[in-house]
Amino acid sequence: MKPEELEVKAAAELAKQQAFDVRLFTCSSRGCQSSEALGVIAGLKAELKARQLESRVQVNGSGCMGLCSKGPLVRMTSKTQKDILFSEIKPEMAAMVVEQVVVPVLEGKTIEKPGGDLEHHTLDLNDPFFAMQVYSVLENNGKIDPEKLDDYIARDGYKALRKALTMSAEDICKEMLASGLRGRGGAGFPTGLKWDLTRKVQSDVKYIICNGDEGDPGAFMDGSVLEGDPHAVIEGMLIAARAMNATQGVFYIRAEYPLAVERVEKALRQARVAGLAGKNVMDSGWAFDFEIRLGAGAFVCGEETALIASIEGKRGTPRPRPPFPAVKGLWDQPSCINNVETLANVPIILLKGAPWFASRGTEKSKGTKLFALTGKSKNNGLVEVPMGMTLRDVIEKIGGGTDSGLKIKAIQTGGPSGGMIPEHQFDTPVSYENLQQLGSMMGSGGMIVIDEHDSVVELAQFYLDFCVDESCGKCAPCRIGGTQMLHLLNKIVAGTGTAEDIKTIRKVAKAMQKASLCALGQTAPNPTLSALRHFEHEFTERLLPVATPKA
Amino acid sequence: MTAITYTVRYRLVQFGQSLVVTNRGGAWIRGEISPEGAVESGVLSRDWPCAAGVQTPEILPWGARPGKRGGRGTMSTPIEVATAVKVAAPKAPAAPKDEITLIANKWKNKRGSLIMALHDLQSRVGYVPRESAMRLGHEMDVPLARIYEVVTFYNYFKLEAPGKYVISVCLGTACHIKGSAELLAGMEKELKVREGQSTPDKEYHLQAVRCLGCCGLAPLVSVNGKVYAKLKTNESHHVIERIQIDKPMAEADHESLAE
Ligand SMILES: Cc1cc2nc3c(=O)[nH]c(=O)nc-3n(C[C@H](O)[C@H](O)[C@H](O)COP(=O)(O)O)c2cc1C
Ligand code: SF4
Ligand code: FES
Ligand code: FES
Repeated sequence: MKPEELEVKAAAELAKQQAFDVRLFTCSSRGCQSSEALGVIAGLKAELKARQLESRVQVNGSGCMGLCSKGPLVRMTSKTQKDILFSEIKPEMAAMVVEQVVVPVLEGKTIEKPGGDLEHHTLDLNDPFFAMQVYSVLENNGKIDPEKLDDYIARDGYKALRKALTMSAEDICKEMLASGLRGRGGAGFPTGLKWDLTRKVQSDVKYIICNGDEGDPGAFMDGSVLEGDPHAVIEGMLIAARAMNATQGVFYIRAEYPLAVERVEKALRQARVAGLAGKNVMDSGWAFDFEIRLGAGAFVCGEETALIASIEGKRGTPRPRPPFPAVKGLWDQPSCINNVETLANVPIILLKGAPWFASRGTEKSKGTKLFALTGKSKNNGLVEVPMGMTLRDVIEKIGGGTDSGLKIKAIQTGGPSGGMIPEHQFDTPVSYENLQQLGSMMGSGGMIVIDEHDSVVELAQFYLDFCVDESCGKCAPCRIGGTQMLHLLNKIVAGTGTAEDIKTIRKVAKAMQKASLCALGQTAPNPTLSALRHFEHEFTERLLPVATPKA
Repeated sequence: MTAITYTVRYRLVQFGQSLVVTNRGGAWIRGEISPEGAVESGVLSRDWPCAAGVQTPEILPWGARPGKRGGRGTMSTPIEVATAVKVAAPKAPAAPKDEITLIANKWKNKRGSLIMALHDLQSRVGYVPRESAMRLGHEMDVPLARIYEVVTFYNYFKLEAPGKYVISVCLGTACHIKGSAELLAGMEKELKVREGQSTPDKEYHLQAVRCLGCCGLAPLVSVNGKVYAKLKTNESHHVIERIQIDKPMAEADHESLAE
């Protein structure tokens, strides 16, 4: 594809879309597929065919629209009226949607809120859940069919790549640095800096690796982005490659996400056919291609050096750094590893400019962040909020409080490496620094809400058990320390612990934090420590009663 | 599993080019596919597994409701579709030799592709049998010890043949908070096996997994890739029942793929 063909393609696709009076988008991401979204799509198509409305109504799949707990979601857009978002649509309701809403709209009626049976299957788009979110990475989710390249192009897709092809590597890095984008995979390292470091290393072979391992159990943002907007991540990787003169891209995706793998594979095929990847990217003479590698159920493989070992086909054990991957990574060549969400931010920044991106967020944390809001939250799903929004707004307004009406006790962010944040600290704005200061961390974006009936001691035990299970066993502090700590914690949960045990836990935790080889061991004690910090009484209440000496 | 007799009424739904049957799912198709055509071209034809001892599929007229559910073992609820497409067929007992050669040829010239080759093997056979691993190693020029080293490190790979239907109970954080431990305990009781084991008849394999990426629908269970979501923690019995309803479709699906 020649650079100027982008506009032609986009215009053609837009004209095609304009020809439809109504467009229906049914979420075909993993969550909704498990509630028969494919049946809904088939049902809609069948009904429209029967009514001979196929030329006026387009039926599409789409990425996750956020409120997964109410899936399958169907969005109706029309030229003549506001969008309607249907929830919990079963395949047998497809005919009803067409009859009661689509047909009247086609006849020129305006439907504010569907009545009858569909009344309780319509979501209010003014609800804080939708109204308070700021869509940037998720902008395309629910608005494009992730399996169609032209849909992406029609929404300015690959224009950022075109721009990058006219820029020098150094300038791209500068732009990223100016935007203030920081890694969304956990540590929050400035992306522009990382790219620039890799750029400066001289080598004929360099790799850019997309970390789609998403090991944090209870988080699904990266999977949703890969499923809902795969081309955005591919474009982000192509730009990253230009910025550091990388020669090969690798997607590392966890095997538990077969749909994400399938969508990325398909998107890569489309990109190659369209000349956006492969031998001659956008007719620039630059050749760049991708490979896909699957994880195999090891949390530690999210760690950069372990991930590299895994791509090399070995056991995924971390190795000491330095040398950092930027110097000696995959096959001993300079490599840059970026998280899925980080990469999905890249085209937006290049297209809209660093100042635009930096205008959102706090001083040191820019842009938006995806969270997987789960647990006892009333609204469960995928949300995108600007940095700087208070946790309270995220949890109580967007999340809608708890489902049961019970009081929220705390949230856990950062997964097995993060910590708990008690309710009284919810007025803190979301940022890397603030979460860290509260004894937790941003992590990849899991946000689990627990209510007053949940035990933080047991949650801490759950996370530690996870880390012990996932420890690769290479270094002693993590392998032995983790097991010891878990042993003590089990004792406390069983009601046979003593005050001495709590002291020992703190000591072991310190040793693990200081001496472990990789961040898995270094951060494994965090959930326990933060639980102790904020809810020590829950631990002490469970201790063996101290025998009071007889008078 | 004891055979279920179906007195079924079907609804037909079109998926791409193929027809499928549904109970809860699927809109009715109005007159555009003739019953004969449907039976001829779809999975309903001939030796459809659950058709044994059952009347020919009956195509209900538009608007009619399927019958009520019968007693245990007799389902008159028509069979699920949207589902069916996703409940993967049971794995073949062992990969034929030439298939291993195919896998080896696909990967052997790519650096570090052992894990990918093992994925291919397991997705074909359901686990990594020792003999297949040896052959694969031989053809890819990788020592068996290296394969063993890798297979034992990654939880995803199984070294023993699992049951035909692998039931994965999610114990990720979101599911944990929603009581998945209770769900797993119920499943263990129901199937009379422990987590990580298969039933003696090799029909089911029960395993715990960590996060299937549908956390918004917690707690949940997946069976050969098909997800049963938003379960109640005391619903283990119900889940197994639903799996049994969906099972024959899985085999039908398998058959249609083979065609
Ligand atoms: C135990 C462990 C697990 C990790 N898991 C992930 C993961 O699943 N996804 C991810 O993007 N980063 C993960 N990371 C962080 C990565 O090592 C790395 O920092 C990140 O991918 C860098 O990308 P970024 O700069 O774009 O954030 C993990 C780190 C550790 C120590
Ligand atoms: S800290 Fe744990 S996971 Fe990391 S290298 Fe050491 S043993 Fe392995
Ligand atoms: S998966 Fe469909 S809305 Fe999230
Ligand atoms: S925690 Fe169960 S699906 Fe994610």
